[in-house]
Amino acid sequence: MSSTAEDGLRILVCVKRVPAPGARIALTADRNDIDTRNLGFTTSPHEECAVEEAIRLVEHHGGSSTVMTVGPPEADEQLRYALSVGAGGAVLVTTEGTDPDAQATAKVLVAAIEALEADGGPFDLILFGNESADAGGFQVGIRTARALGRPVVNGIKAIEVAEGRVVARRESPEGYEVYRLDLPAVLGVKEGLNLPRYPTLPGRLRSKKADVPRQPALVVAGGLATLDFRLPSEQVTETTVLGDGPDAAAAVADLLQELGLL
Amino acid sequence: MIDVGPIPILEATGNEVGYPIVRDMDVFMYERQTAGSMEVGSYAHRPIFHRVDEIPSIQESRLSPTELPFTAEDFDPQLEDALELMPDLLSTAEIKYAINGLLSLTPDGFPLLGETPEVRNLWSAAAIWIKEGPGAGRLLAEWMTRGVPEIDPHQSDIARFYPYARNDHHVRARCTEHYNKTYGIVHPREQWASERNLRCAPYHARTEALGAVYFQAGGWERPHWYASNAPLVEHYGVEDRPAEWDARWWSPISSAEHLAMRERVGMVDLAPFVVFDISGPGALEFLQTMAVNNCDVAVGRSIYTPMLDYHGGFRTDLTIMRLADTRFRVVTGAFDGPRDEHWLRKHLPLDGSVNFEDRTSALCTIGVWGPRARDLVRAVTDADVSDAAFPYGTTQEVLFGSIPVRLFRISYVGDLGWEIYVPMESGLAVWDALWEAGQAHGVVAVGAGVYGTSGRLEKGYRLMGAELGGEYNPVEAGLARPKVKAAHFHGKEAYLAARDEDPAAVLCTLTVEDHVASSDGVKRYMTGSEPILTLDGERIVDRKGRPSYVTSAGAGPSVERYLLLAYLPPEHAVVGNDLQVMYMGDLFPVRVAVAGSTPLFDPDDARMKS
Repeated sequence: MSSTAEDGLRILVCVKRVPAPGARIALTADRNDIDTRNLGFTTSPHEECAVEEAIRLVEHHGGSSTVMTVGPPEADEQLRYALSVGAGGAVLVTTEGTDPDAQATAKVLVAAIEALEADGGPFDLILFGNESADAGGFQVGIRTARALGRPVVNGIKAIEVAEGRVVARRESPEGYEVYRLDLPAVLGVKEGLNLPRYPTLPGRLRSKKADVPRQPALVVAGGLATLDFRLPSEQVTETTVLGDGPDAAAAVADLLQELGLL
Repeated sequence: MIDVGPIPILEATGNEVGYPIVRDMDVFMYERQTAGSMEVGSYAHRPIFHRVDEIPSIQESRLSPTELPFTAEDFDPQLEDALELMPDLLSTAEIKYAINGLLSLTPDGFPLLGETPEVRNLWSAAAIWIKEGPGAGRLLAEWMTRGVPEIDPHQSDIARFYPYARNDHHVRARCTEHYNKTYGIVHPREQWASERNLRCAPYHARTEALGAVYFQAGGWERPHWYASNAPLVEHYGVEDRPAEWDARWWSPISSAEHLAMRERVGMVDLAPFVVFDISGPGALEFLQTMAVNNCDVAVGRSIYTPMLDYHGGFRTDLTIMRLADTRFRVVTGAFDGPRDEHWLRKHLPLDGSVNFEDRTSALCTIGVWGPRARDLVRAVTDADVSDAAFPYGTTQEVLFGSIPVRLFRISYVGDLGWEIYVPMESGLAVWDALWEAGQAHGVVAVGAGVYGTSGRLEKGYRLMGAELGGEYNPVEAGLARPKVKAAHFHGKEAYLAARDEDPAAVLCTLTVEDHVASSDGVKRYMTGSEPILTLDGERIVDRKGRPSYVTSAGAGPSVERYLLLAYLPPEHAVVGNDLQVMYMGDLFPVRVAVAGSTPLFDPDDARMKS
């Protein structure tokens, strides 16, 4: 465990590049993927809060924040966004082909984290979004923590760090559940933890020039594979024309009576 | 574009818009207040095309179909430009919103308004940007309900495109070219670089060999001047223009060609002419309904006539030849062809009594004008082309050797000569025959700079889209004839009413009396659209609220003056009246040389009727 009093906090935030769709998601013709031709990409709101929390904790306690993702080369965009709002560094672990499943992702992350920690010492805190915005597996953070042998709590909406411990709060129907974890620890955070800042123009310019190291992932297949996507059947609203002009009056009156409005 | 905020100085205005928009033309960017934020937009990046049928639906869009995902790599190079311009405002505020805004682009950058030529009563109000929305809505509503909008819509008329311009390839090519010019400083005479050589005269190789500099007209490559005529510049002592802007897309060769034509004979490539043959038992009645002037003339005679809209403004002006009792040839300009075709076809009777045939791609036209034009034509035909046998304003079919051509004795440049209508496949042979025969007569290839500007302006001839439009009537334009024909025609009631009242404006020819700019001592030459002001520097506005401005500008080499056309209220439209024109921030003295349509050059038309 590093000393928070002397060196500040060393924090890692793990994020995932996901499409930002509208209300209806279009699929590619072969249904193997989401049609992203007209979509932008983002990270989940949970992860935006995780990045913001890391920046705030470092602003308060000193130390460093690093953002990491396992994803395609294009995920550089999401890392630079995190840098533009104030993250201190970024690492891109590149994969090829389809999204690795939660098990495979966690394995890749663990290997990358161990490599980073071998160089720079252990991370006091590793933050995940509660779940990814696309797959929604709720697994990667927990699998990673388990593999690293560190305590983990999901669903966190408040974090305080003091004296080598993190106090994390999770909403419950009655109020808050309060967890005290020894550092190093892993937390899955939820939107609402804070209000993430937006980048400034100088922040964007800095992020453009930043060095984002890339390392290829050694992906070991997980237990899940995507076969295809299917859209849920849409709710169809049926419209019945009751008539036209005065001829419709009787039908309208009947309907109002049926609805108990007359 | 990105939205940057909050910015306290903007919030303090308490308004959606409290400061003017900043257009930073050097870097193709704008900065516009939107309430408490600054919207920063860029037109410097690559055009990012979205086919209309690939734009996501409202449901599929994250925000809306017009707010597409921001591509930072296209915008990032502009961030430093924005910061350099407004460092205090933009360095600490946050980028809260960033999109690629979807814009509707058209090949020429203008909207698509009006009735579609393909489907009657299907109206278009497309490719309108936000700031033009209210005006476009009003214009279209007036057009649909009154038949004519208050503001002349010809530049935005959806019917303005030729077939070559009505496809994806052309739209994409032209939009690629002009997207970055959205904030570019575009010269009034600027030519397109893309989509060239789509329509060429059959003798194009000949004009090319003469060093033609081509301007595009209706998609045609039309020589504007010829580099091979450069020696004439020294011969006639034509001055160059010292200001780069005034000399851009212009050459002193053009004025030299003008003087050579007036002295000898010029050959003008008029292939872009739009030619409609209108025939059938109802042809005369149809044209009488469309045209202001009487079309019931003898076979072989011609009519120059305005066609008016329903409220008496100009819809077009064109020339009609009567080829036979029931056959007429209508000739109009390259820039008006599709609109005129739509207007004419829209009014064709439905009983099949009138046949409408577009001959534009079947016929090319070569103009020969100058004092030696008759000598030249005599050299290639056995037909009698004397003034007695072939008077001004008449047309005959003759043989050039074995090639049938139609000669039309008319002139837009004010000299003796003919338009020669030739089957497209014989155009090269006729060009060669004229060129060869012309060597003995000092023939010179003359570009459209003479035909459309200097020759025209010396004669005070009006041009559709410049002097003529829906906002003016024939009385104001000086085109009212002494008598009005009995037959009904579109706009007749308004035309009769206009004849009964004093005109609110008179189209005048003005001469520039001094070209030297007071600011820097450099001689300047107006390009058109400049305001005409009083000697006190006041705007001139007629009683109908129309300001006076330069409708056409150009050299008058034979009258040794630079000429401007402008509508002036009657109290200013007095020969000898001194006024000013503002150009590039300087004021230049101008004088009314002609009030009305009398030509400044050869006012009796003796030369072209000789």
